[in-house]
Amino acid sequence: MIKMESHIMQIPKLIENTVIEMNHFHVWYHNSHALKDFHIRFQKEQITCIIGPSGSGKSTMIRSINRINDDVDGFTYQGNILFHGHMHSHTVYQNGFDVNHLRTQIGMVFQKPCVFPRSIYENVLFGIKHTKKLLKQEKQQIVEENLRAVSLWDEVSYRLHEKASTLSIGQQQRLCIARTLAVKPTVILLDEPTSSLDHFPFLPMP
Amino acid sequence: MNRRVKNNLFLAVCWSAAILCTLILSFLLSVIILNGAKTINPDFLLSNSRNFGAEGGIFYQMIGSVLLISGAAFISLPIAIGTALCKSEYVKNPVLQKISNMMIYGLNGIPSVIFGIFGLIFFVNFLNTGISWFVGSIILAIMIIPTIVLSSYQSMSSIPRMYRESAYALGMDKWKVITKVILPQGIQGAITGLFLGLARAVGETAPVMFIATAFSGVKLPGSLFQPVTALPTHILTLAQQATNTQALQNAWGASLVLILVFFIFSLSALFIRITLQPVSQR
Amino acid sequence: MSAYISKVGKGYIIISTLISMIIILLILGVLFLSSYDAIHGGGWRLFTLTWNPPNNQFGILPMLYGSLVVTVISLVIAVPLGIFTAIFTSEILHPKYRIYVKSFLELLAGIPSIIYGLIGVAFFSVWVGELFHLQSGRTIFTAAVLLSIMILPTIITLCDDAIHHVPQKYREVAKGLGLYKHEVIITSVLPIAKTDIIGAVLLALGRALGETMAVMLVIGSIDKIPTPIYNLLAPGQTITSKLGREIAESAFSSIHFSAMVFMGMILLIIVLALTFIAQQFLKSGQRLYE
Repeated sequence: MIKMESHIMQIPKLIENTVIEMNHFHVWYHNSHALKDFHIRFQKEQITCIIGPSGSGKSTMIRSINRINDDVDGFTYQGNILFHGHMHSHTVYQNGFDVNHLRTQIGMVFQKPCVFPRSIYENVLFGIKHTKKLLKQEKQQIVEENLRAVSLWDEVSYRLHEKASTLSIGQQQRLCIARTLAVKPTVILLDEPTSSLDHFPFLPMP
Repeated sequence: MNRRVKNNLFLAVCWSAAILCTLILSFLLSVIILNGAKTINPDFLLSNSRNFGAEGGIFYQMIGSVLLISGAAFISLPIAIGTALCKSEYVKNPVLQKISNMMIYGLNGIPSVIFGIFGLIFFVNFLNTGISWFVGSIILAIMIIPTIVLSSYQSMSSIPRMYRESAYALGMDKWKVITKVILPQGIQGAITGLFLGLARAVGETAPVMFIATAFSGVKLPGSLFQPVTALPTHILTLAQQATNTQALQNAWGASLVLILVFFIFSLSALFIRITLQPVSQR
Repeated sequence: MSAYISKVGKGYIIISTLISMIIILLILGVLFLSSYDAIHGGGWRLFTLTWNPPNNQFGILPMLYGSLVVTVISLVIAVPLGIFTAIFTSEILHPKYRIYVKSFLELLAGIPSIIYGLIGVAFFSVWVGELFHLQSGRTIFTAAVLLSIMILPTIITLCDDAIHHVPQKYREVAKGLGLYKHEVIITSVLPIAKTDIIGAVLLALGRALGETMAVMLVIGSIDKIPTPIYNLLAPGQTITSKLGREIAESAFSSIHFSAMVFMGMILLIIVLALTFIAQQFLKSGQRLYE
């Protein structure tokens, strides 16, 4: 396995401007050591790209940050990850830590689009409607705002109540990004999402 | 933290449902095992039943059950394998596949008492066989055909097309391909299905009680057309005299034997499925 | 020579296939012919309230009522319990124990019904009798409880399959949006597993309707709709328990026998319809996410 090292990233080490940091982080799946002694600091309001060959642990690293890996069979870890939110800093892997709140702060878009068997409209609201009570008008506004942000609005505005599975794969992936944006996370983790996009112009970060 | 409370409530409901189910199901098993173990001894297993089953053992009931299910196995296996071969090698038309699936699932869903009535009308009265263990075997065979067909079809259709094509390319005709390529791999599915089917057949009461079994006083049948006594119908007779503690005690013993036979068949099916994987899946 | 063997082989395959396909039609045909006397002679009088063979009264409504009520109550008990337990085994229990739980449940699902009947006679009917101070604990309620326990393993194991087959990605996406476990299950997993769960419940319904031995031993076998009609702690009769008790006592080719077979045919048609509908649900569930 090719080891990823943090020095490849060339990130300026400004602690006050850091949003996520990983210290001495290891991951094992059963006996295979997927991530070895990994350090990294992600800066606020910046786009950080991580490049490496397939199987080098990119996905493992990114999926450890919002603890999506927790339920994977045989997952064990060592080391810690810190998340510096608006008010407080948290150690992500801490007993009693509110992981659901963390995931609303750190959004994630997966490699392959995954829409729920519901309408386009409901798919955009799928995450946000659990965290906030929304009026009908607000819902409409959130859907429009986020679909515009991923340049999908013009393509689907006239058929918001059709099944999301009727969209093309590329459109579905943009819908997934809109769904993540709707929750208004501080950070978005993108796990090679553009491998499913036919054409995707620009992703504005919030 | 309303959402967190709801989450904990939901998890608590799931946990309690699971615990309740575990308690109920382990109650069932422990009742049978504890009560049955008190009764079972060599004498019980090897002696004849007396006084309508309330005294004595279950020797001839065991023999009767063995006869019934061996007959069922011999009748059902060839028919089911033939049907599975036809489905996997001959029927290519999706409509015909669909119809044959409907017939097989339908047969599998028929309530067991209906098989009993069918046997009573068609064999015992119309063909005038009288109450006969062999008719019981035929009816049980009909009941387990779907299980064997589905299980063998599954393992036959999982053989990659490559194997068939290589055999045809060597100049083998269809029947050769079937006997040399398809059957050797499909047979494990058939045996798995057979054991699953027999596990079900050995405990069936309703289909055999009108047509194949006498309730007591019968020993070995002299011909194909005589009744036997069997374990499930014996338990039925005893359960109907449940106020008699001696009869109830013998019913527990017979139940434990029946359930052990059932477990042996089910576990063998599981074992065969795991160990005898066809070459193509190893 | 080889061609000859090949022909024989093909003949064997065709004949055995025909046998397997024709049996179900033969059963339907035989039942229809045997119940013809009752349909012809009785007509709508079959759907009345009194069953009294010596007076030539063959009303099957009490039995239909019994089958309906026993089945519905058993499902009302077993379906929620089964689904929550299936959520536990597939979503909460650690995956490495799932295989053991599944094998255990599949074994239980196949335990012969006569053994459930024995347990019902020896324990449940006694408990019901003592709990409600009844003369006899053999009631519609007892039969329904026993039946619900019988179909429980089937419901759990089929629903567990349905939930387990929902691809992992839906759970990950929902979790990634910050949803709690119960929200993940209720809003993203269950809607996708829904059609398969409905199929599972329909199959369980078919099995419950056709169950004979256990019900026959604990239901009390009285051919009357209880008074008042919702009194579940009264003895009753289902189609299957009636058939199990009485078919061997009725003379072949009498109207009595024919009326019994007619009930059997109604049962068979309902169960076959349920089986086919259930298969449709189970299939469409697979199509949904593949």
